[in-house]
Amino acid sequence: MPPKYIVRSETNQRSNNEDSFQILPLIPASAQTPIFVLSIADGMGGYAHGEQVSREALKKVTIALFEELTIEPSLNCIDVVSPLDANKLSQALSDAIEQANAFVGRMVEINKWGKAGTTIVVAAILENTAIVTNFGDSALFHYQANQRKLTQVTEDHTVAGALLRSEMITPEMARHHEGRSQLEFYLGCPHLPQIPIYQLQLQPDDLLLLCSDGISGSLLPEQITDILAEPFGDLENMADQLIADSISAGATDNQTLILWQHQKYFFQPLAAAKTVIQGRETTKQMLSDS
Amino acid sequence: MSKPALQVMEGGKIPLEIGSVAEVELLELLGTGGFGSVWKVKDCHTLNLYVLKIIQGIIPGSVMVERVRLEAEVSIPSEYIVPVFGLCEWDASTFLILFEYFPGTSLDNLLATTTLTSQQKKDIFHQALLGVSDAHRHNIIHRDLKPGNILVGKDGQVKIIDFGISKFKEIGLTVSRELIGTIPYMAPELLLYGSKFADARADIYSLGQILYELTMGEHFWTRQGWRELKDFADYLKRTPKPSEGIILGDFCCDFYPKADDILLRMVKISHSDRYRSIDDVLSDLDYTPEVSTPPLDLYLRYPLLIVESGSNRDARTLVNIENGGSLILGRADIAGDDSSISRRHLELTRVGESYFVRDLGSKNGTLVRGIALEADTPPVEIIHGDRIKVGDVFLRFVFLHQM
Ligand SMILES: Nc1ncnc2c1ncn2[C@@H]1O[C@H](COP(=O)(O)OP(=O)(O)OP(=O)(O)O)[C@@H](O)[C@H]1O
Repeated sequence: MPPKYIVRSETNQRSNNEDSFQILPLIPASAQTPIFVLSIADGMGGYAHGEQVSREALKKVTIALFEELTIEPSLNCIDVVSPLDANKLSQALSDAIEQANAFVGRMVEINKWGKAGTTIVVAAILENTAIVTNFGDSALFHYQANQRKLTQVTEDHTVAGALLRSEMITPEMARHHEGRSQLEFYLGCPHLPQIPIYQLQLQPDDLLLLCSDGISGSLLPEQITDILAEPFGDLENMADQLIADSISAGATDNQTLILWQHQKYFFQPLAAAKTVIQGRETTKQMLSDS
Repeated sequence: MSKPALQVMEGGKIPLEIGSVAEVELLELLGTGGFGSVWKVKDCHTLNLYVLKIIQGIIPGSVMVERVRLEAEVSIPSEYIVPVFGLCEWDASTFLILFEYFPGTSLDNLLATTTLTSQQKKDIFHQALLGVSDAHRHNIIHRDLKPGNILVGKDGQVKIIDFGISKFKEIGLTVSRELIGTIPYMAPELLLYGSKFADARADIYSLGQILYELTMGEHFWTRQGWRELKDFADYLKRTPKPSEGIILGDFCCDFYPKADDILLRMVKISHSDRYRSIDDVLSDLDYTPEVSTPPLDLYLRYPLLIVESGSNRDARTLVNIENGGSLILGRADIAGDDSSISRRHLELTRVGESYFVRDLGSKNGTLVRGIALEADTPPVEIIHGDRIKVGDVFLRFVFLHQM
């Protein structure tokens, strides 16, 4: 079954769109079914630097994942590559974020872009599991269809968010707080804390919403739930509604979203491997047992 | 006539209308922030050097622009502050501010690259205190004091940058978001409640953190191994509740013998327990404050409030009060109906030849010598030459001969 998702990216009332997004099927060396890497980055910096930073950050993350999941395991490898599991994927994602952070930091420094950087949110979907990470205030929400329940999986790394989590301010104060768009952590910042990694179990029809703060910054969770719970809503209508409602709630910033609808994952048994020895060369052939 | 495009690049030339400066050439990019960029520039005519801040992405029509102008235009006469040379609006979303150029290295760079002697540290801190005190006297609060904003010249001269422009960082003015790197210097009340009501005491907290860093070579947070706001929040929630933003631990200052106690009073978590003025810090550190002598013929003069910046600059309001009487002032009485002033904003009273001021619970508050007047507190005496900030309007209280 082809994957079901929709992407939107709107400049809204800004002069340029500093958000970037990517949806990339990536085939790990150990499997024939791709993992899907969904990501959004919201760049910041003077002029158009934010745009470049967000693009480059996403590229770096996906290149690092490709290297770690596909290239490395298949290089000089004569055994069956052990299958990718959620923990390995989590580690790979965490490494990729670390690399991207160092890369963005260097890029900003070399180009003298001063205080530039980017938020990032990534979900890598492996069968019925989503591995998620983020920095900054781009968010991921998980809508569990059977319970009609919405959860914001990621934390917003804003000053207001940190104060709220520490219960130093109330949710009401946080909504109007000066620090609600001041980022404490982002890609390109000198000191990242431990990289947050979340693992989610997905059921058929569950939705994942990845978005920049042009969407999540102005909508209350209840408003997002109402849109995603629409019984006959298709992804396109939902995306339209999310964009329209956040604009009417006052969003002026760039708006990017990826809405992913999970589908039943059919497990395909891994192909058996047969070793073929030809002279001094050792190769492996993957035989499909279909 | 439409303006040429802004040439924001090395070698670009920008026509300005700021004082005597008609055109500058951009020489070197000094920094970029979420709001725009900072350039070293040269006056094409006189070849004098300046620093130009280009603030872009201002939401057009924002009332904040006028507020920023009010603040940036106040000139603070101080040897220890880089003066604003002037500012202009390029277009509805772009603002240019020209500063004098001061050849120096920022204190964060110095701390990272050199070993300062105790005498150097002491001189730097002393000058920083004097600069901030000068600003507070004019009711300008920095709100973002950190080593990166303290420049030190080759001869040890200190000048503070970015005074009077912290308003640009308030929410809602520029469209871009901020990547924050200076939380550890921020006073708790600023973190929790925002910059609007932060007064002199917020700067005193930051200076306390800077004193610790100067002395110990690293910020208190770094020394504690704290990496995020959460670490500080966890500290604040400890029982028993800490009352200071710093734990002395092995703190030991060889250039100020009484530094321990003074430092702790600078970084009190509750601003009402903190030093109220830099002058008190200075005198506890055994510096003798300069006292200006009032004119001898004060009794022959009339008290006035004079507007110090903005389009109503120099507008005057006579403070005509009988002995024992009082006068309530509000929006309609001062600075041409500025909306930041409440209808009933402050009350002035007179007892003999002494004048006092009290805030009447106004919306945007009143600052005297950098301190926000709290409602329900006794009136504060004001003397000849005192500055009062009413809402966003800067006033000076003086006695003058009748024109
Ligand atoms: N008047 C000046 N004379 C000489 N150098 C200056 C002057 N003003 C600023 N600089 C230099 O330019 C650099 C950038 O300036 P500034 O710190 O104001 O930029 P910024 O991006 O607003 O930084 P921040 O937001 O951290 O204060 C400073 O580190 C300082 O070294």
